[in-house]
Amino acid sequence: MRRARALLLGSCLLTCLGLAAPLVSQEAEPVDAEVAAKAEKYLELAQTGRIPVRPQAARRLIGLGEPALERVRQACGPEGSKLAGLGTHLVEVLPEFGDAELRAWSWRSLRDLDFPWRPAAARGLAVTAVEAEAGDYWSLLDDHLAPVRAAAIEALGRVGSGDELQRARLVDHLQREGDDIARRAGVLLLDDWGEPGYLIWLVEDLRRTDAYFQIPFGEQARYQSARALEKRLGDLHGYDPGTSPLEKASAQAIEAIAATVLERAGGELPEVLFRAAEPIEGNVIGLELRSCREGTFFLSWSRDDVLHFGQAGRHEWRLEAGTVARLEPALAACLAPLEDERFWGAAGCDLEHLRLVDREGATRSYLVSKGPEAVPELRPEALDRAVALLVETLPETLSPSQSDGQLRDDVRRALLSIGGPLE
Amino acid sequence: MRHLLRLPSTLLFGALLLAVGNATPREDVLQVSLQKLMNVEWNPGDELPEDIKAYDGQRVEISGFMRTGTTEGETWFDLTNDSCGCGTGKLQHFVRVSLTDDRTRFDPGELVLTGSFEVSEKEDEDGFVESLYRMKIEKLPR
Repeated sequence: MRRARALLLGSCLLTCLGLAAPLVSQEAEPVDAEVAAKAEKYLELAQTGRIPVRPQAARRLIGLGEPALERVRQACGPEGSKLAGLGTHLVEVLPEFGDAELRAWSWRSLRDLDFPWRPAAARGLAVTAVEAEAGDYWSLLDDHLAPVRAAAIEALGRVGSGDELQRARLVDHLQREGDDIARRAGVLLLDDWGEPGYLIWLVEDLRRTDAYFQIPFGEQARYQSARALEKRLGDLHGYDPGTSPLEKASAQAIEAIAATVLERAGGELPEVLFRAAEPIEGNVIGLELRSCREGTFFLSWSRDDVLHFGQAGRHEWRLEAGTVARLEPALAACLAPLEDERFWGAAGCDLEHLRLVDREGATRSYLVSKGPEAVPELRPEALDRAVALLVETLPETLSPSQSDGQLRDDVRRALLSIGGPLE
Repeated sequence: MRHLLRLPSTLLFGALLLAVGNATPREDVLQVSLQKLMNVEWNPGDELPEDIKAYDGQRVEISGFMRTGTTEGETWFDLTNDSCGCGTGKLQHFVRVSLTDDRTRFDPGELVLTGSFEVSEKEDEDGFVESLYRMKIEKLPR
């Protein structure tokens, strides 16, 4: 009897399941298909959509969870071999899927110096950093790409202990750090770790007025450091980063902010190593290089034969007298065949920008740009010859960057990776 | 005596009018810094600061660079803080400029533009924010 009842119950259950099964699959299938279609769409938009849409689409992809993860893994190719083809926005969000394999591929890409989206990989890993990776982030402080170093500092904020030894190690690094964004991130981390005195380095930024030709790096630094300081200190005593720091009200506000930092630091402040830079007078030639793989260079030659390089032109090199006077007509002769042509290539993460300022102060620009893939003979011959003349004037024995390379070699490598070989 | 009493209030009213006029010079051209616009901490859905929203509907002058890779012959382009336009995935990092009586031709030099300014989230058909700052100008400077 008991067996018969069990059989009856079993058959009822099977019948119910049998009836229910098509209903469940009918309900589940459209949902899955909808999610899959969304994943497909966001994947495409994150790679080829309009530029402002790409990061938003990448973020939406994460929100889709598991179905998107499978599709993204597929897009990464076998063993993540196609990661570079995904583009910077997707590479940046990969670690946020929380998948061990994607994380391992992100680390492998970050360690591959030829991978074009290393800063994005570093940022993605940094926001999801885990303690076991702490040693790797410390090592990345020596990376030749500033955005990678900045991301490593952000990661250390998540996984570092901030003990005395680590604080000393970070201070030691920041004393050599030539990049504004990485240095600012480090100062804020030191504040988090109980060393507020280094905020005085950000106060110094509030006095900056430097510019690289028309790019107002000083003003940019004022805005960014003011925003960071406001979050830490609250009141900025009426300081307005849009107003010249030379104006009396600005100068007074900066003094008041410095006093607040001094008080917060218990009356003792570290030495300010990076003094506020001013505009460089008489710059007549500029060569700006931004390479996805080799980093960023801002070089300028002034009429009084000084070569400036590094952010805010902090490093300078005295050239042989008459160098720039000889360069100007030579460059003009090289560039004459280009007539009104000013741009070669397509938008991308690699860019060369040559600027020439004439006697009336007008700037003429020549731009070469491309994505991460090599483009043969991108830089026209006339521009090749002009850039080669500039490279010849660079000192061979100076090492301004975090890497062990020398300025001339570093610049040559960057030029090679952007516009190709010179001549 | 009544007139004398009225004098201070009239002066006060006049002063107020002047003050309001200075705060919102609808007919004047406001100098707007791209650096200020860029440094707003904002994510889609966030409220924008009042001093940025105050630019909405104003006639402004702003300088910047045409984003590298701008297609020739279009009726719009993005104005960025350098010719590289690097990092302009962030919506607060560019101004979308519409040309009412001209077409784009790529110019890598600095541009100083004057036109009517608009501040608001503009979404596409999928709900992605396409732009935050927009500007209408007649022609590109020669």
